[in-house]
Amino acid sequence: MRIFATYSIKGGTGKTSTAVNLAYLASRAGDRTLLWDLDPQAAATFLFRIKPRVKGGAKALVNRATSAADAIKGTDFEGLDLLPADFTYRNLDLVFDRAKRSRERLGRLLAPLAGEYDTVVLDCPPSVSLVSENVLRAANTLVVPLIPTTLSLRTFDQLTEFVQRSEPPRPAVVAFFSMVDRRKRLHRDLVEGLPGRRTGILPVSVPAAAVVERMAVERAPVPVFAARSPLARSYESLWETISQGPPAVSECSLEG
Amino acid sequence: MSETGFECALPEVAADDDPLGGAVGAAVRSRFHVTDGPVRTVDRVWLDTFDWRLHAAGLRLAYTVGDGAHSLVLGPGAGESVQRLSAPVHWPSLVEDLPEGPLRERLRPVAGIRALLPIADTRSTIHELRILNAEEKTVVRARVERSASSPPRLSLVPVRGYARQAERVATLVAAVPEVAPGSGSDLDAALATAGRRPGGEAGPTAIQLRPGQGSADALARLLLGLLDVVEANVPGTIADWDTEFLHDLRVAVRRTRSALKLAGDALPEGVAKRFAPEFKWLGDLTTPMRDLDTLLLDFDQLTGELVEADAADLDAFRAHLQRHRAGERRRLVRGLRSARFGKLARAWRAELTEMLSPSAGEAPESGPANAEITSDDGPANAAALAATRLRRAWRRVVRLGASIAVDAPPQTLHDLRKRCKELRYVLELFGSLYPAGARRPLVKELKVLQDCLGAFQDAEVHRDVVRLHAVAMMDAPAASAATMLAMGELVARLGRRQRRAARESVTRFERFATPRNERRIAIATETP
Ligand SMILES: Nc1ncnc2c1ncn2[C@@H]1O[C@H](COP(=O)(O)OP(=O)(O)O)[C@@H](O)[C@H]1O
Ligand SMILES: [Mg+2]
Repeated sequence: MRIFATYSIKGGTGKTSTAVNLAYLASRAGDRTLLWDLDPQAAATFLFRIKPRVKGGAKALVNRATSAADAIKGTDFEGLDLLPADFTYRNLDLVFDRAKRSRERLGRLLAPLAGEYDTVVLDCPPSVSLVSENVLRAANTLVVPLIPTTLSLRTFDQLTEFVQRSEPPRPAVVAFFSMVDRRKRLHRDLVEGLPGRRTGILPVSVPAAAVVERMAVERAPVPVFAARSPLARSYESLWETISQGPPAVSECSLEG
Repeated sequence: MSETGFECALPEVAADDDPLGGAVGAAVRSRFHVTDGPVRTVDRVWLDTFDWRLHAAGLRLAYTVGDGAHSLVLGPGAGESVQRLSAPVHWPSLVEDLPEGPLRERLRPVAGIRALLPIADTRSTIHELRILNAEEKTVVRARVERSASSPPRLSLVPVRGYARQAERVATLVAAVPEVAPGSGSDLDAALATAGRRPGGEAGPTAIQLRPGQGSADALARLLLGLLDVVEANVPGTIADWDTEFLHDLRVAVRRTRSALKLAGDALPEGVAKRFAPEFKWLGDLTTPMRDLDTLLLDFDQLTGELVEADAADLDAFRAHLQRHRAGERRRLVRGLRSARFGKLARAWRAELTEMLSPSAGEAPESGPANAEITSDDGPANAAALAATRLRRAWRRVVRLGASIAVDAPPQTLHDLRKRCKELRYVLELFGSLYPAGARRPLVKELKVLQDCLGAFQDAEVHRDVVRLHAVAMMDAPAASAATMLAMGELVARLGRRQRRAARESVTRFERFATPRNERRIAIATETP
C-alpha cells in the first residue's frame, strides 16, 4: 500500500483538485484506491456526493470506536473509495494530542487497510499542525502543489528542510507547479527554468484552467468529462511521474 | 442483503426499453433513480480443475474476453473479484502461472497444484445500470445479463458503505412475483447442454455395492470404475496439464493391481493371471516420471532446509531434472499411445463387461444372500468377498509389521508400505460394504502410518534420483562445484529424513496394530 498526500501549508493551491484526480487515475490504472478527505471543509467528500459524516466523529475514529474500514464509502467510480471528511476533523489536532503516540495515529488507522488498498491518497487541510506531522509520518510521498512564485519556492524549501530534519520514517517530497498561467512571465520563467535544476521539483506542471470548475458540476474527476483537455493530460503525467516511485525524489528525502 | 449482493432470474421480457423488465423496473424506480449504462458482449471461458475443486468450494471462475481486454472473474455472481490481464492466457494453466494478484491468492489454496481447465464456453450481453439515491449518488450497481442458454439474470452489487439502501433495492425486487431469487449462471446451463455434471468424475470409491451382489459382478464394477479413472486421466497426463493426472492414473493402476492380487480369485479362471503383468507394465511405465514429479514438487521445501549450501546452488540441478523429465515424458507418452496400452484398455473393458451379471448383479446362487459361502470359485457374494479380503489384508500387515524395527532393512519397510496400501485399497474399494463406524477410524489411523511410510519411501527414491543424476551432472557444462556440493548436502538431508521416517513408522505401526483396530476389523468383517 503506497500512501500519497497532497500537502501545502497554504490553502487554495490545488491540493484537493490534485488529490481527487490522482486518486481517480490510480483507480483507473487498476489500483484499489482510497481517498481520505482530512479537511473538515469536506470539498472532496461533497464532490463525490457523499455525506461528510463519520460515525462518532474524529474521536471515535482515532480511538477506533469506529473502524476506518466501516466508515469508508464507495464512490461512483469503480475501484475508488472514500473515507469521508467530518465536521469534527477541525478538532483532529486535539484528538491526536490526547491519544497515545500522538504523531503516529493516522498511520496506525491506515495500517489495517493495507490488504484492501494498493494506493491511498490523503487530502490534507492547509496548516502546520499535529495533523500534518501525522501525515508526514504516514505518507510515502508528499505531493506539494506550488503556485509559481518566489515566495512559494522559499516555503517549499522550508518544508523539505523540515522533513529532512524530522526523524524517520520520512516521506519523499515532490512539488509541481500548479495553476500555471503561461501568459505570465514569472510563471513561464519558473516553470521552464527550475525543474531539473532543483531537486524535488517535478518536470510536470498543471495549467490554470477553467475546466477545473466543472468538477463541481459533473461531480467527477477531470479525465471523466474532459478526457482530452490539457488539464486532464497534465494530471495524467503527474500521476505517471509520481506512481513510478521516487526517482528524482530520493536524494532530497529518505537518505537526507 | 449481504456484502456479496443479490442475484435473481428475471422474467423474460420482450424487447422492452426498460432493461430491468417492466415489473422489476417499476418496483425499483418507485423509490430510486436508475441510470442506464453501457451494454457489452462478453465471451467467457469457464474454468475449473479436473476434479471440480472450484465447484466444490462454491466458486465460479471465468476468463472473459470482450472489448479487446482479458480478465479473470471469480464469483459467485455479484460478490465477484476481477483481475484484468495484460496478456491473453492459454488454458489450461496452473494457478502459479497466472499473473500475481489477490485473485491468484484466492485461487491458490483452492486449486492447489491442479491446472485450471476450460469446462465450457458461453457468450452473453451485459447491461450495466446504476441505482442512485436522492442525492444522485450511486448506491447499487445492477447488471442484467442475457444469453441464449438461460433466462435473463439480475445481479445487484452494493456500493461500499451503502448496504442499507442496497437491501431496500433487493427487497423491492424480491417482492415482484415473477422474480426467482437465487444465483445461477450461464455455467450451469452450458454444462447441462454439454451433458456434464459438476463433480461428475467422482471416482471408484463412490461405487455403491450391495452385500448380496455376486462377487465377480461387484469386483468387475469396481475394476470398471478404476479403468474409467485410468482412461479419464490419460489426456491430461499426455498433455502434462498438471502432475495430478499422472498421479491419479497411477493410483487407479495400483488399485487395479491390488484388486487383482487380493481378489483375483473371484474373477473367472485365468483373468487375473492374464492381466496382472500388463498392469505391472503400465505401472512401471509411469514410475520414472512420477519420481521426478515428486522430487520437483518437493524441491523448494528441500532446498529451503539446506544449511551449508545455498538454494540457488541447486538451480542447475533443477534445470537438469526438468530436462530429464521432458525426456521421460516423451517415453511415457509413447507408452500411453502405444498399441499395447490401447489393446490393454479395450480387452480389459470387454472382459469386465462380460462379467457383469444381467440381473442387476444379484448373486446367481440360491441360498442365504448374506452368508459367507466360499466355493472353489471364490466368495459367493460381495459381502463375503469384502470380508475375507479385509481380514487377509489386515493379517498380512500385522504379520509383517511384527518384524520391523528401527534398524530393519529398508526392504521390510517397503514391504510394509505395500501391505498397508493393499489394506487401504480394500477398505476403500469395498468401503460401501463395511460399517462406517469401524471403517472410518481405521482409514484415518492407517493414513497416518502410510504418510510416514510414504515419507520413508520418497526420501529413498529422491536420494537415488539425486545420486543417479550426480553422475550425469558431472558431464554437464553447467555443473559447478557449488552445485555438486549442494547435491551432496541434499543427499545427506534426504538420508536423515529417511531415518527419521523409519523411526516414526515403527512408532506409528505400534499405534496402529492394536487390539482395538483388530476389533474394528472383526466388526467390519462380521457376517450377520
Ligand atoms: N488547475 C487549476 N486551474 C484553475 N483553477 C484551479 C485549478 N486547480 C484548482 N483550482 C481552483 O482553485 C481553488 C482551490 O483549489 P483546491 O483544489 O480546492 O485547493 P486546496 O485544496 O489547496 O485549497 C478552487 O476554486 C479550484 O476550483
Ligand atoms: Mg482542499
